[in-house]
Amino acid sequence: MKLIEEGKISGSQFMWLLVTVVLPTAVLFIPALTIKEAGASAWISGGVVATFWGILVVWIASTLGERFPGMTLVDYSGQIIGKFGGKMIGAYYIFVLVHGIAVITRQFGEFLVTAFMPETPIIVFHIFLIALAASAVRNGVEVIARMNHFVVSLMFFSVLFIFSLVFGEWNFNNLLPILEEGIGPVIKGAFIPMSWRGQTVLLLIFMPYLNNYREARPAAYKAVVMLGIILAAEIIICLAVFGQLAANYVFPAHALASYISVGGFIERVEAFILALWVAGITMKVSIWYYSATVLMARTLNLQDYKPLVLPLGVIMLTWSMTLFDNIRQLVEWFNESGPAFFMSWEVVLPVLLLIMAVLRKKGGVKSGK
Amino acid sequence: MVSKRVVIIIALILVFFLPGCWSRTEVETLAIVTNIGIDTVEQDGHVKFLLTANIIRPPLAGGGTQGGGSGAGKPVYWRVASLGDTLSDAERNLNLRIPRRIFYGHLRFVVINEKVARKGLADIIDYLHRNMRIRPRVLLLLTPEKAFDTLIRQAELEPDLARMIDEMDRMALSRSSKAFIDDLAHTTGQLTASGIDPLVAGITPIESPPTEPEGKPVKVIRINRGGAFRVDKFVGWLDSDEVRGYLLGIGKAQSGPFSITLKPHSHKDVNIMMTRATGKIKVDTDGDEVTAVIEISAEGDLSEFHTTEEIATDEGMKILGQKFSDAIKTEVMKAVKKSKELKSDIFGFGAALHRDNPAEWKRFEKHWYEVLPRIKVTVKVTAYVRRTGMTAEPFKPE
Repeated sequence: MKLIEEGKISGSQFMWLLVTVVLPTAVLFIPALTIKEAGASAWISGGVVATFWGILVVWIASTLGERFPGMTLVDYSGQIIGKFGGKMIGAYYIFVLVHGIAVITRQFGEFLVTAFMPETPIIVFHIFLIALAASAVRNGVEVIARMNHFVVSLMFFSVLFIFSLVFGEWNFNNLLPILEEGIGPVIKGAFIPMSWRGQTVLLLIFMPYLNNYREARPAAYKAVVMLGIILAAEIIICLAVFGQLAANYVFPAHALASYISVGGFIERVEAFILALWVAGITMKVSIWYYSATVLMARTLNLQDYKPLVLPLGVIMLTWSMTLFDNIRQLVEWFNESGPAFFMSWEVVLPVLLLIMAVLRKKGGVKSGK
Repeated sequence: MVSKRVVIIIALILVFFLPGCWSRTEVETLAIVTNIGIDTVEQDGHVKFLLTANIIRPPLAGGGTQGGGSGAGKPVYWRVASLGDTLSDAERNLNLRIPRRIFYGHLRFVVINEKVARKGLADIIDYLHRNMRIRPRVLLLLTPEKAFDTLIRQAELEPDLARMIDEMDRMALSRSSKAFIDDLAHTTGQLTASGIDPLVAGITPIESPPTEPEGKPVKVIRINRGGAFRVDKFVGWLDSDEVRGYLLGIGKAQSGPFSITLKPHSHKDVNIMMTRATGKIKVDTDGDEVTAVIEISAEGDLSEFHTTEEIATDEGMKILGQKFSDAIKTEVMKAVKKSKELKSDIFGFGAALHRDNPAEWKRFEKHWYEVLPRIKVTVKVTAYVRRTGMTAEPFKPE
């Protein structure tokens, strides 16, 4: 059962990996989508409901992973439901990851073209993003984890800091009344943040690289709670500053950044935010890209994953360009197909695998041992 | 050595990117717009937008690097306007006349003609929000004359109107609280939220006597009123006292002079300088009646005293505090009266009801503008006069 790669990562690196798996695109898109559905109670959807969901996903995934320490997803799926089934699971995960990367890349491109460089063809951003990520993937998990630790911890605290700079405009009356329309819209608004938070299921890919697989579960819980805090804070601040108007913006976080004015001299900081986002999204794509590549290598029983990097990159690039005709299609995809797409691999498959593993008594701490 | 060759090829490709970035724009090709004005004009039976822009005058070719050389005596901005079927059309039509790209990144304020505002702000606000260069912090102003004319008025003490308005925005609240320039984000927020309507600062164009020896009269602006809206349509003006009443009610007022009458005179004989104030609105319902309570607390100092009575006593300060409260109350009530007259919920009574009692709000929401004039508003003020300035008792001429 050897791994594709010999890299080792620590518990805290693992935690930041999981934060990155969700955060960079979530800070851009979640507030508008959630506020649109849940109104003034959107922070409950994005911060509370989605966090509980994230904890559930992490519980399922890490329980599954802990039964098979040091093994990859494809290998233990093979043990649980037979070799062919394992390959099918691997193939499905490759599909969703590549599709996911195409979506993330498109989000990134749309954001840059809309908010910063309207005259540059979107494919330019896609090429640079995927090329950078490909280079990171070729360098292996240790490099990604270290770089990510630096970039995303910086991003996390800077985003919190920058958002708090608009404190002069906070009006918490905008958050009232709480739960005006009951719990319904809040749950409805929570679907998108839930599917985003569930992306932490990628911990399954990175668990085998941990020095000590027992560190995975607490680190993943921490990551989910941190995400809950930052997204709740972001939604609350968006609401406190803009009220319901936040739902009209495509990128409320960007509007927030361009609204900052402290003492008349800390202004126009959105370029700084942009730098953080570009770095963060590059890390997010690298992590997803890496997951897809090693999964594919394992599914195809290859000795090395590096030959797969470029071909996959080309597929992602093409896909990211052809997937959507316009930006609203992208947003609607998240509303309509998104939840089902994400739930299938974030929850449904891990739950099925876990149930099968328990029923067929595969792996893990066998009773009586 | 494949990798070495690859590195060399990449390095060579990168050389092509060295001269600059993709779709770069040099600053010399930009026309930096500091303010825009929006009017509508009827032409051939169609209503067209007239977009007026103040553009920073670029340094003249060969102009001295030493300050004041080339442009001495000339204003630092010039005005240009163009027509268009939509605002974006008008914006790009400007480029049929001027050789530089219109750049909104430094836009400070937007002046809107009163008649345009009467028809509705929503279209204009959409244009402003959709543009990636225009910040949510851009200030909005209303003008009774053509915005085209407002944008050529003289800026006072500052080099251009943009900086002048910018400073006045800060100054208005901290010096007099008689004017308040709100920004695009807030105004849009109030426009889209139910139960609260925007109040946009209003300009009064005036002709001032000469400002320098042997000068001519100058055309300047004064910001001394506020335009109240119903939903997104301008419905009427509040004068500067009513604006202050409004600001006190919503808790935005900071400082400002209150002239009051202590003894029955024909003139005001005392001035209290307010130093801080807070305001809160609570709305409740009782059957079909809506009641609102505006709670204000304020503090001030004695800044002028025209009679010779003994005032520097604890008792005297309390009397002054009482008078001060009454003055605030009168001002707020005036603003409330105006709001009811205009049927414009600038105070946000509806939003307050929505916040405190969502179920009741549902009942009134549909016919809110009929309920608004019937709301029973009480103003509760607790105001204190804390200090007497540098003198205690007034000087007694004997």
